[in-house]
Amino acid sequence: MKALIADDDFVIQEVLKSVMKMLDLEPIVVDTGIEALRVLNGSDPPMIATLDWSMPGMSGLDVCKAIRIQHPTVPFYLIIITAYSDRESLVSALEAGASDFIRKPFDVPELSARLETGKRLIQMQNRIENQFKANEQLIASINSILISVDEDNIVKHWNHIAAEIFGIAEDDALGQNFSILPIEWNWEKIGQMVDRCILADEVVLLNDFSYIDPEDRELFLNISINPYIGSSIDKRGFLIIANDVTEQKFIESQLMHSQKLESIGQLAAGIAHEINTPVQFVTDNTEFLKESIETISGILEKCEDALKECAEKHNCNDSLEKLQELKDEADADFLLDEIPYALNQNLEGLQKIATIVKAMKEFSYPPQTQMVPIDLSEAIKNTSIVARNEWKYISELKMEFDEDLPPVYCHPGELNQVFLNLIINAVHAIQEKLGETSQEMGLITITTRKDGDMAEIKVTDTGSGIPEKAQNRIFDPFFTTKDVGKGTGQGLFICHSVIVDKHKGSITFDTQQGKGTTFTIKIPIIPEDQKEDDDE
Amino acid sequence: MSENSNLRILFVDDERKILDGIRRKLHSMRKEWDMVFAVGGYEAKKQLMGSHFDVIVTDMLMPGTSGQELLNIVREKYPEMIRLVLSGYSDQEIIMQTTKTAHQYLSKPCNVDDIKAAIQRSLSLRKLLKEPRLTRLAAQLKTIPSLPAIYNEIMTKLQNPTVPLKEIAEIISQDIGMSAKMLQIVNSSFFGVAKHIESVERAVSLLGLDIIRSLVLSFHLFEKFKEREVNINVLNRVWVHSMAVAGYSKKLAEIMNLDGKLIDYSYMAGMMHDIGKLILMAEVPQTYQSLLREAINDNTPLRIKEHDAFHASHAELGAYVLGIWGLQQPVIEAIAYHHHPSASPTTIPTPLTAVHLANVFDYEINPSHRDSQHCSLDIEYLDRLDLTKKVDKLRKRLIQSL
Repeated sequence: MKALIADDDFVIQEVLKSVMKMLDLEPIVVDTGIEALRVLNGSDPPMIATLDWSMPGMSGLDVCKAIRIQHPTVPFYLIIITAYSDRESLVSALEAGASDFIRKPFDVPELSARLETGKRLIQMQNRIENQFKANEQLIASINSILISVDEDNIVKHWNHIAAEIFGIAEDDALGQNFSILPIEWNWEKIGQMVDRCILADEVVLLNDFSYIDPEDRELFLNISINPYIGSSIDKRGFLIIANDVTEQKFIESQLMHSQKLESIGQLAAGIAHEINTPVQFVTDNTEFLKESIETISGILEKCEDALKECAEKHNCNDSLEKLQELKDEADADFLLDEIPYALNQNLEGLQKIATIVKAMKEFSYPPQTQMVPIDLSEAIKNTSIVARNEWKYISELKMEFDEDLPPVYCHPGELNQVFLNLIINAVHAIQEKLGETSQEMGLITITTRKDGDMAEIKVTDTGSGIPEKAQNRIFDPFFTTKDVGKGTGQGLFICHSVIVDKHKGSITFDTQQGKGTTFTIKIPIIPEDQKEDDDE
Repeated sequence: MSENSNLRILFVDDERKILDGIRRKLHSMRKEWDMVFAVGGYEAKKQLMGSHFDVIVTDMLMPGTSGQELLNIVREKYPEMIRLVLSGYSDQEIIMQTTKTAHQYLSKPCNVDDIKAAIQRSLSLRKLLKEPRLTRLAAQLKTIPSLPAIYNEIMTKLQNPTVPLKEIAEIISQDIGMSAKMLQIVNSSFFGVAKHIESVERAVSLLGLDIIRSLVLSFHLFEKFKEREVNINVLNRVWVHSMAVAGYSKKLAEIMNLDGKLIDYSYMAGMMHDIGKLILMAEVPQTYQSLLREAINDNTPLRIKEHDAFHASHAELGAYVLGIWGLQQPVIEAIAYHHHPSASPTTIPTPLTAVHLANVFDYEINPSHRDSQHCSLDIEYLDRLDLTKKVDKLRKRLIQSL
């Protein structure tokens, strides 16, 4: 550590030098106050200095005063060396900004002890300063909004992320009353949460909190409000840490959406096939009916002619013979036999198309923010119709519905997605067990049951079961045991997220190797927040 | 399979109502066709065991015995039967499998008149081949082999994941067998693209690289001639002649002012007019080799020797195969009658006219060709079309254009 000696007396310079060297200080020696000031004002100055009170030109006291004025925050340790020992002198030295003083002539142990004290203080100050810098750096590198507000609701800290997201510069925010900052969010809610945090002295979390940014975009923040001990003991400030989760939310919804599209894409080919069949035979039948009507009209016309001829000639034999021929030629009996069947099959076919179209419409229920009460058995039936082509060659599908189960509050589109994923998984499990080309059929059973105030849905298959190794991971995103191209590992992850996160329910499974698997879903018939609303 | 007996057609679907609709719609054909309707593959198998059929029209995806299985059985046990698929399924893998087992693919929903037309066309071809051995051979044929050099080139190119589609199209359009297979696939609605296809290049671009790559690499759609079995010189001669006739036919069709579609057909027919020779070389190499020798020794046209052996020549065989593959009528007609166009009923210029002339002209231009002396203009036909006097002018304009 460097140390400055400012003295015009050569002998004293030498004494100070030797004592400083003993203390591992590196002395820099000057003769005048002016020069002392220059060194202390320079770059990387010595932090500890001995200044002779009486030097020609500028005195030690003058140097003290100048330094304290010019660098009020730099903790120089300035020791005045003086022959004066009266109280007044001492006070005026301290008033001028000296940290300590040493009387001449020197008592070497005292000189050494006083220098040592100075050195220790400087070292401690350095340590604190380094620690402070490290903390500053740490805080600056936090990639979250970080705001501290003191007990008087004044903003004390406002990091660059806060500045960026709220569009309020640090300088504009610091020292302001937090509650009057121009931030477009639900201030009432924030106020409540801050109160709760301070009163209960606990961390309060706010997820997906909506905020409109200066460019009028809606962002979502995950906010934590923490109690913060400011300068006063009985009053508390608070610390806000918040993250922008807008993109994350967007990705989650995209994931859900893309999985939905993926399954609809997979289903589309199957649905096309399901609709193709009735379209094919309804078209054929209708063309047949058209031709038949033309033929029959022709016969009727000829009948009329024959009747006329009969009436005119009073001999019907020729006409009748011709008619008979015509009838035989047209195979009228065949037409009369077939027409009713063709019409009935057409009606059945159109009915079938209507059922499929209706099921598709209901299946892809538009996303809603509010839960709506729906009949689960209808939803499950629709889903099974939409997925029919996926299972009909592989498994029977049995459905047993509890008639006592009232309409269940849910997000129908997302719940349908869950049913679909479970049915498809069941089909794959059965396929895996029976092999691709098996003539044997599996069985999928879907049941519903009212279980207290919960609705329970079970999907049971007679498939291969879930391998033990996989059981812990089946709800993880991107985890799949299926062959490449068959599954993306999103199905059960989405199921879990829809049931647990969105519906506050549970999804569990029970599996036996080679025997099959049952997935059990439980969701509240009426969700908590809906209950409150209902009470009101 | 006598020409007078009624045609027997087996329809198979797992949906009774589909069969009912077809049965009603085709009731008007009852005098010419005996139609049997089998619900599902199992019943179809029973029907097949019990009696003879000329044509099978089957669904693909059925529980139990699938359409694919059924078609394999039919191909194996009743090889002369014509195999049509009527399916609403769009799974590409299943469709790819059928490119080798079905002659034509009709996609649901499908107008019954199209089914009727496909059956009628197949049956009208029957009169071309009278020898059961040849009918069987033709119907069993999965693919027509390629020139080994072209085959090797396309296999190499397709391994390269970034090969441009254009390069693949160019190679395929150089090969007669590959071209024929591509046209079969796009003219049938295998991949839902049944429409007028003006060229092999267009067919290739319609299918796209992914489908072609899997068809060729995974489903082995193309094969090559076995170098040991065939006389590669003979093969090359047929190739050079075919490509020349293709070009001439197109030119002549243009000179004769045929409409655009018929110009395209003239090119295709010209390229494939001798495809029957390739089929014989691939399927009965030894017999064919001895026919070739006999023809040289006796100084007789090869087609006469073919007739002696099979009651049909390569012309009829080629036409028959491409006919049951669903290629367009004018192409089939041009191939079938390219030696004796007067046997066809037409009275106006068609691709047949172009191919007939082009074939003779190429032999005239290359008199050293062994078949040259045996190929001559069908004057009766040219008279009928009032072209006899114009032949010299046509020849002159063709040669000028070369």
